Amino acid sequence: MSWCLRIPEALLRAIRADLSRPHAFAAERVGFVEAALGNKDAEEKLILASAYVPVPDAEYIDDPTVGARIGGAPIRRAVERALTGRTGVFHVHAHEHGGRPRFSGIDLTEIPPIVRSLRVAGRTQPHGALLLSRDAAAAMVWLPGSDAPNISGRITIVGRPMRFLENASDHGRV
Amino acid sequence: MDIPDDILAELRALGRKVQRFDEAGKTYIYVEGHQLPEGCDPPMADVLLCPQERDGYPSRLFFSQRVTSASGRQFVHEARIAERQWYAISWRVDRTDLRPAQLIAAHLRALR
Amino acid sequence: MDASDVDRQGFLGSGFALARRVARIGAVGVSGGGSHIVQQLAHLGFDRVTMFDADVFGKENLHRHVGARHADIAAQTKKVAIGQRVYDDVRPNAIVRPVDKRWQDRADLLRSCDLVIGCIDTFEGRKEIETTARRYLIPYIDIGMDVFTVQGAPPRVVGQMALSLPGGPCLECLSVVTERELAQEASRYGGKVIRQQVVNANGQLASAAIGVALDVLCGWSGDLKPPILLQYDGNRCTIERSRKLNGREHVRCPHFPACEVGDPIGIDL
Repeated sequence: MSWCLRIPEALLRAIRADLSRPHAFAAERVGFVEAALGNKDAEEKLILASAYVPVPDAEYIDDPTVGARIGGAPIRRAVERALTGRTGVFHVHAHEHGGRPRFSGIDLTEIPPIVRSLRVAGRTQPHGALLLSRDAAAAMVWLPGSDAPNISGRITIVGRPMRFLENASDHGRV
Repeated sequence: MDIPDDILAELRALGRKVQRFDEAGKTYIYVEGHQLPEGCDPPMADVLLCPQERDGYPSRLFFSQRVTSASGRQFVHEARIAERQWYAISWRVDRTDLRPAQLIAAHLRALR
Repeated sequence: MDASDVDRQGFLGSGFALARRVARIGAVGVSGGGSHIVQQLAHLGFDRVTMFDADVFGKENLHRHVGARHADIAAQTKKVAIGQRVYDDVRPNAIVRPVDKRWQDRADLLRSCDLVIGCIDTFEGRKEIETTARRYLIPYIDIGMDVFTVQGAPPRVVGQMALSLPGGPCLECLSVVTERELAQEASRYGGKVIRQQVVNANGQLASAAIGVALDVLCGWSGDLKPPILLQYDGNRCTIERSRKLNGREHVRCPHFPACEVGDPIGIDL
């Protein structure tokens, strides 16, 4: 089973613009991307990004040991969106370098519990994490019914021009 | 589309499930398992009401399959809505003051 | 694919080299204008193409279906089989899926495409492809032509090529598909209209569509700025920016909001 995450270019620009804004004390920003499942009966599922929900400045927690720590409120709101069953939710943040981004050890510790909550709330939609670099992207996707993240997918930026990325490699640049 | 409770109750009485779908600028009301007029084969079908103008009709009722009926009207239209194929006859209901359940009934008269 | 093949089209840039290898292109309707689309995709080197056409080739298609042979008439060759043959002759290692059905009967395959080009006869058909394309975030390029009889004057050959890009103006915003035309079609009770076509007009429109597809897929020129709606005048042999775009350059499409993506989920009432 594989997936294709399609992100409209205008949405990606909005995500980048928000994530690149400086914060008073957090080294990084995070947000949540809403994305719905498509072609659910096909071998390659589609994940269709539709909206970005930033985390307000006041909802970050000052923790110098990590790039960004957010409070419970933005996560609760993300879970509420997942509860509708109409959209999946993806945690998103960015690493400020070029080339293929990799989830850090902290990412792999901190993000899965958030995704677990999303998956409990919205079992019929995909959830996961999206990581952007300056010119590429990577995702971990939990498809409905799967307990383990799936990285066998591709990411397509839908705009002019389109950009095609293989999730597990760095063929393309966003 | 905010639907008053009494109108919702009328719709819910029509079938197993009643839902709203929005697509391409139009709103549709879906009724799963709606009883069709006597003499229809099959006797029951899912129906999809478009209560606003579509294809030159003030409103349209689509069926999940072609139905043979006492009226003998042919299902000459096919449309794809919300990723399903739907079928319709050529039948015009010019009333715009009907509640959704009444509008569905008015369309179903074409099958009598 | 060897280096010389890439180099001859090298001006299209590295984005093109990647796109033609990985992009999944859908072609709906592969006769007439669609036959040019298939031919050009093959020569350009696109490796993943899905063709949809339920029809069988007939004598009435011979004048406008590039790649067809006279023998296809008696053989009643499926139109997608002709497309497959064209592809096999040019690019035998490409992954081609010939679907001899309406696309609606294999919508899963259309949804899997990254870009779709439609060459079909009806306005309702155009709207249906576009609606699915928007729902699954697929750029859609549409072409069409018609011949009008004008009393006391030569016939007028006209056509258009439209790009429907998710987030941008749709075919209704661009007045390519209107309620009036949909109503007229519906009033014919499903009767098919035989539209006149000619191979040179189809070729011009199809070439424009491929040009726009290349721009969408790899942005090589930077010159084409959406919205893109081209009007074709077959009498003067011109393709130019449509006057319908005047004043609509910054239209925000109200018909396909960003939230209406993915497999449809009804709202319980």
